[in-house]
Amino acid sequence: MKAAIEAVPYSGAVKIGLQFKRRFWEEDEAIYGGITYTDLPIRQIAYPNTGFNRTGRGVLLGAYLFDGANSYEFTAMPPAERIERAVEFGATIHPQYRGEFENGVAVAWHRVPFTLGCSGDWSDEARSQHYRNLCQIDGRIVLAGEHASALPAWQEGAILSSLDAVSRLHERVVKS
Amino acid sequence: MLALCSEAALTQDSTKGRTFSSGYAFVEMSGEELFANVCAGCHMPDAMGATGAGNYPPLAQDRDLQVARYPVDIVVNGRRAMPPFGDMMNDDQIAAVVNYVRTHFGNDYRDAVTASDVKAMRR
Repeated sequence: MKAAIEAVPYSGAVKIGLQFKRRFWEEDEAIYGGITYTDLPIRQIAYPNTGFNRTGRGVLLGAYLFDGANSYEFTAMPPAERIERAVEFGATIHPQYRGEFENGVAVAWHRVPFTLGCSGDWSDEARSQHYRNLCQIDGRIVLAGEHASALPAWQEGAILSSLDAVSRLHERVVKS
Repeated sequence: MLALCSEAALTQDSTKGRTFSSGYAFVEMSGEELFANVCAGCHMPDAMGATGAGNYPPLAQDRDLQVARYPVDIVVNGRRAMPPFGDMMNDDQIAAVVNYVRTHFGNDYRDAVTASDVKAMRR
């Protein structure tokens, strides 16, 4: 199990939430939910799929970075600069950013203390060599989570892994 | 504060000189810039590392950097929680960032790594 743990690096991800004075994407552009994909370093702008046509403030996902150079580049920035850059790049798509932006928050998972990363990053080679061992009960230790699943990074993987771990544990207790 | 960003200025932002890559691989070429835009995300801008659920080891005053093959291998192939960068940086970039770290942050190892040294470490 130790060898299996050491064989899986943790991939990074960055999300940046931006708060605006109004839901200009709905009011001005008739954008109701969904995602703008872009080759700008922010990669995506995701619009809220709830609360349509509400007056007052709105929050959107101003950047979503994973699996590529930009995720590292945004992780390496001070948090305030991540937000500044997300506003700067996003304003080239929605000029309303400049007048309507209020504040934001940026999360870079490699900097989140309790995980130091977003999700298990399995190579095909590591998976064929170590995955079965990682999911075994080793002494008093059994692991569960997205990293111990076939669906890394997804909640579904984490839940399936927990069900699998509980089943294995139950089987072992019943048999002993 | 919010600078206009023209198409031409995308990779080299004039306001703060920050470089952004356009695809999966990094476009930064100098060791200094690669360290600041990539390594510093975890090892921190002062190379002192950090601690959370696990440890990001410091690279400052790091005796493990004495034999250049060791950091080259880790950058190319990854180690434990650290992702491999062999597919995201070419041989020149990896040589540049290893040479930068080995001559900064209280490290003074003058035997520079070359791109062909990096190539030899690719598995």
